[in-house]
Amino acid sequence: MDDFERLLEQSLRREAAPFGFEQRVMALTARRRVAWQKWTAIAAMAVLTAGAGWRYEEVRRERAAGESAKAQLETALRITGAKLNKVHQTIDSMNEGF
Amino acid sequence: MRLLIAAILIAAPMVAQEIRLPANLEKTLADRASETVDVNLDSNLLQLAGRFLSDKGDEAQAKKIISGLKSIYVKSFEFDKTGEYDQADLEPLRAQLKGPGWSRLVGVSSKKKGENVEIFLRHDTNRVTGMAIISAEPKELTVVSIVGDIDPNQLSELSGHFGIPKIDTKSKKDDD
Repeated sequence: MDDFERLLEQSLRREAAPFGFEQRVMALTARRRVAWQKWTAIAAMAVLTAGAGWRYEEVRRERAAGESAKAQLETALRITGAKLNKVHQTIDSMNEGF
Repeated sequence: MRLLIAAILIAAPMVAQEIRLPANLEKTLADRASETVDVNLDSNLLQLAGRFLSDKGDEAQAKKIISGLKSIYVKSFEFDKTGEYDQADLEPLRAQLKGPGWSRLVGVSSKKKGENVEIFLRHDTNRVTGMAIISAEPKELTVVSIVGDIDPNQLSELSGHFGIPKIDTKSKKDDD
């Protein structure tokens, strides 16, 4: 066995992990998982809140437009009806004379 | 060029249905008026309004009326004094009502009060597809244009709704 082979054997020799290494790795993984879950939850909440806000705004706008259209329609029908009735009444009063 | 002419010929009757005050006259009248009512509802807005009407009372009546309509246009101007417009101002409007399909249903005028109300209907075979009202009073001018399938009976049922007094359509002679 020459020097090179000895060096290679030393380098490739299985060594036990330092004391507490496994616990430290597991703790770090757990901490990262918790952090990842926390940020995922925050992102999901933000998306849900934005979605709900957007939907609320959409419904609010549609309601406002609908109420405005309804008010315009009622005004139009009121004016139209009043004019039609004016003609109706005039014709009626003329007929009464006969 | 032929395509353009064809497009104009096809579009002309559709445009002709829409009775409108000329824009310059509308602006002049609005400037002089003390109060202006401006309603312009196209089919989309009519549909939207319909969704917000209930199935009871006045609103049910309105819902029934608008079901076949394509547009409603109402312009009403109230003036503080007389002479703010001239009958001749309305000629471009009346000219639109001389188009095909339009006929004058009734005209009521009172020289004493200086009032003149005319109702025009647009017919398409056996259907009424448009209605226009020009009401010219000394201190008020109103133009109504309704496009779409109109049932005149439904419109007469407006009396008693929307603050319009209920009118007994039976004549007194019928009662006797």
